[in-house]
Amino acid sequence: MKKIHKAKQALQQVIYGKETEIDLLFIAIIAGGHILFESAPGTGKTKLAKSFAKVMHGDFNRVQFTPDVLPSDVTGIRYFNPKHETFELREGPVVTNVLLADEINRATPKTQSSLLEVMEEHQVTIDGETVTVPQPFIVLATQNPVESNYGTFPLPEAQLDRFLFKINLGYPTREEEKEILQNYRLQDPYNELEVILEPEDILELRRQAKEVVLTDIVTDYLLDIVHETRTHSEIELGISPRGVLALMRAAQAKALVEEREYITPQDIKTLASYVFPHRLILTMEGAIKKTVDDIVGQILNQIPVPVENVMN
Amino acid sequence: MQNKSIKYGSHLLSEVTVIFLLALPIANSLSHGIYYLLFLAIWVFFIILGRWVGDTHTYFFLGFVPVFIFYFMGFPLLHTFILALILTWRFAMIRRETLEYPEIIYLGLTVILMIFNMIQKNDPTLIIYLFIQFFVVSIGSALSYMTNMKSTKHYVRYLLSYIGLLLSGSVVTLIIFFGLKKIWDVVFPYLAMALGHIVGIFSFLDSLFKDIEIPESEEDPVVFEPEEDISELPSMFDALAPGLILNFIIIGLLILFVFWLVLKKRRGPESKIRQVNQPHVIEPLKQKEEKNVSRLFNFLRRKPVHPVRKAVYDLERKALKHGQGRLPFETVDEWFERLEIDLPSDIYQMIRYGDIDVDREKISLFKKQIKEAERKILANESGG
Repeated sequence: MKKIHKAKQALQQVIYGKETEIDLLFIAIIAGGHILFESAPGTGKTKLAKSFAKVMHGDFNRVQFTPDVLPSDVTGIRYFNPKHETFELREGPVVTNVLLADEINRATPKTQSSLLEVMEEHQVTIDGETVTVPQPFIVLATQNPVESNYGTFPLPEAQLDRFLFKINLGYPTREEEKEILQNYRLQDPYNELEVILEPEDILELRRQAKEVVLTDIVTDYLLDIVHETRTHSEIELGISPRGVLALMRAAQAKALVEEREYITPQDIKTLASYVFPHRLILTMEGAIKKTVDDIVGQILNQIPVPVENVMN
Repeated sequence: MQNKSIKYGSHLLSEVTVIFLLALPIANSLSHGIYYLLFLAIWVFFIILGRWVGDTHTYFFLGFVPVFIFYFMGFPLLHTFILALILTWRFAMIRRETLEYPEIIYLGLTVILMIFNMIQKNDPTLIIYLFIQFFVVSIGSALSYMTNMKSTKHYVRYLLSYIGLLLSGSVVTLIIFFGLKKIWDVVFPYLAMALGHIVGIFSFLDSLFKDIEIPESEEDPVVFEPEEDISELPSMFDALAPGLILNFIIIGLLILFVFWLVLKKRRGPESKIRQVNQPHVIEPLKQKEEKNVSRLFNFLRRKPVHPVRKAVYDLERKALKHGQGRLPFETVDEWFERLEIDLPSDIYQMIRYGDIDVDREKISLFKKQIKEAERKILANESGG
């Protein structure tokens, strides 16, 4: 666990003022999930992904999505090698530890869907041949919220449901920006980053996270929240069972990172704000009146937390 | 989600039945049906009025209408004012969506008042009001939920629990009625006698007036000769009719009830929840509605046994009394943070959420920290 804390500190030297987002990054990789970053260009998404890959000594690949990117450009292709007169397999950028899918919403739905298999099953089928991606594997996708509607394709629900968290990086504060200017003046701190973790360390943490306890009382609290998303009058599509599992895995990872052997309602409450919003679809009326974040906040502020029953 | 107009309507009608049962002991001369229609007419008047009058304060200025109607129908003046005030107040509160009660409360009040009236009037047929109340509650609730198909399933579960309650409630009510009636018949004469004795103690006041000499008139005094023996005239005890005593008791209880409601509203934690979370808490929880039935049995719940959990329970209870209670949706950490209490919650969380036991030293340390937190809460309160 010391390595995790050290790795977090190292990343904080490169990406300023994003402690929560860096925590979520480690939680996601321990939970075996993927992250969708939504923020304006130039806010450090790529830098964060590259730094993360460097710190964990993993392979890093980047795909810049555009409308003309084909599924085979992502997954790989079987081509004819005239020299050897055989068909050979060329693995795509998806076969890596950390995949940065930049501006994912600019790819066509067909290309976006090429990521479905690898995100869920950690394998990719290229021309009938299945290739397993190295572990740990994480997709860090980005989409620009101010992207013009022309030439973009909103991610389908099935795709969104495969992302563990949706994080808005946002702009740094004035103080943080001042610090960035000072530290980047002479050199890029990224170049000074050292390898702190090994992929095997992450796999060991994944194994340990599965042993983190979710007691009945916290399970009920989690399910109360999920049930509310399914019956809420302003929500058309609530949280899926995959979403429930995702929240549990994330809470287990968070508890482990915080050196606990059990999940608390606070874990659920904190993570729900990152796990739920991209999985919910509002009704027409709800979408006019509120944002998804408003409704998630409203639900979290309605479900009683199991502490002691003094009020009853 | 419920349709609000239908919900208001059914709540108003439920309150008609409750208020009617409250007024029943003093409504001896008219038939039940007339009284019931009278209340309904007043409610309808207010509902029609509500279409044009948006500000609920205006209703209080129009309270003279029910006063007039009640007085015209032969109510005593005191009762007229009290009932008109309650009626107007309740209507305004329902419209404002403050001091709203769940349907189960209406049913519960109806059962209590009905048993009381059945005993007082020795009339088991009054059980019909439980069925009237159930009809109003279930139809109102059904219609309000049926307008939203998503809530239909939720409603069916809700309705089934009410039907179960109604059937078992009716049997229990009749058993209670026949049992309590016997006790009432035995106890009431002694109660009345005791009241008579208390009144008798103050009879020395009569002697003060006996010593005053009244100047004799020049005319021959008219000698009143009683036709009956004076000793056979009704005593002070007899003059205190049971109905009159009951009226005073009911009015007293009613005033206490209203007073309690107002106090609860002002001090209660729910009002604080609304203030703190105004942007988020827009409509009440569905779960809250579902838990109403189980709330009836909440008194059976016990304090937690584990010393750490018990310490947090006691802290929460004390903080609640001092207006700093934990809000239902707050975690322990969020609550401590709001109160600016530096109390590590990991020991509590370990026991509560991890089912992990801790050694005695840690428990005693936690208890000490809780005591300090209590002091901080008291200091917060005295500091305003």
